[in-house]
Amino acid sequence: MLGLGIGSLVWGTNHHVLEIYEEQEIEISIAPPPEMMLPPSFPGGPEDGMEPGFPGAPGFEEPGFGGQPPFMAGPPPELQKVKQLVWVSKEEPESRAVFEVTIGGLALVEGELQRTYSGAPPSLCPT
Amino acid sequence: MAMAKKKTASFTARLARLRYSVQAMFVAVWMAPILRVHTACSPVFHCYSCPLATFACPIGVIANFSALHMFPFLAVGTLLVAGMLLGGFVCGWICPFGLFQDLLGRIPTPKFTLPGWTGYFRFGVLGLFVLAIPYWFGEDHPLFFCRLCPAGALEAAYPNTVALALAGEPLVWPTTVKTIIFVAFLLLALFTWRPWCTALCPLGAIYSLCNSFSFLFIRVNREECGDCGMCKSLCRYGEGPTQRANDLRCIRCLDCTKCRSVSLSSVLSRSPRARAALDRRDSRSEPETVSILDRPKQE
Repeated sequence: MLGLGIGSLVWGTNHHVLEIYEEQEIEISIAPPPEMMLPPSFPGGPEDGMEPGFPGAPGFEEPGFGGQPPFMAGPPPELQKVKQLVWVSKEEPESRAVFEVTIGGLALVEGELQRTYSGAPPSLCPT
Repeated sequence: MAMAKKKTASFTARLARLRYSVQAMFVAVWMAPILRVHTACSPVFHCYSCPLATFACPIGVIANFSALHMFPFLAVGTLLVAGMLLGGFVCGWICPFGLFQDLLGRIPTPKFTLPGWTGYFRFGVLGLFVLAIPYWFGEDHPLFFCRLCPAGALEAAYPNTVALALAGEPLVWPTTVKTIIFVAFLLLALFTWRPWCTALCPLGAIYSLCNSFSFLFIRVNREECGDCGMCKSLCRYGEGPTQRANDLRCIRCLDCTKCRSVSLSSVLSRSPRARAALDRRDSRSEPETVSILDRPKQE
């Protein structure tokens, strides 16, 4: 029985790992909508109620003073960065699970071990 | 006369006088403010939500692992090693909740002894509230062991309430059931020795099973025993070593070793020569170390 106890301790300390799912905030890059990739229509055109090339129309300022037409004003639109919560599985030693249960940090959800918090752990057990 | 008694007192009888000091020293181990090793279990009954808790409570870990449908190798290994080496010594000498009850018991009030069969309730508590209910209903169930535990009320719930009150934050009171159980044991501990340990402690149930197999055990020398009943009158927790040398409720307080026919023995003392002598003696009298499997049923 003593050997069984020592074996159980050794197994729990060194070999027993548990798959724990935890919610993590990750940053993903999203391409902008297709319409943002197309150049805008030529300013000062008939759709703006102006004669093409009318002096003073946007995009036809004096060279060097008023800048360039909007569709040429900057680099192409960048990829959008969006933060999203995803479940990530991690293999943790049993000693970590012992720590987690002392703060109510693990729950069994649909047969999977899930961490009940993200970020800093709670300081006390909820019971 | 007193001097003569002192000289003849055995080592274990003298050791028994130091029990409260040893318990107090171990409290400093389990409640060390600078250490927080909650990745390991202690062998004692001590709430890990206590702000000073050094280690995780093995019963709390077993209950939570049961709720998570996992086998707690670390907790079970800790209990097996401690149980096989020390048995009930853990309860009597190093458990902080046991010390709390012992101190309450020292208040001079009339004392009564709980019937022996109440000791079996501990196995019910272990099976039902620590294993079955968490396994089937999870950690949120109101009868989950930690939600009832009086040690949790004493060491975590009420200190936390006081801390919140001092900080001027909204109070979080322990549940009514937890409060009732805690107050009931508080009152009961004034009138009987260690009511929690002898009647309901699930950790005590595990260690009591180890009492008959542990490295250290109580031995009664039948040749020296004169059936004077002294050891029985000294025993506050069980039925006395002459009835059952390693009773399920024995916490190895060693008070009974004040009687010269009762001693503390270890497996190592069983040398081939000593074993032969024991065999000869056992053939003449009933066995001193009664196996729980061979033990007659209590009435």
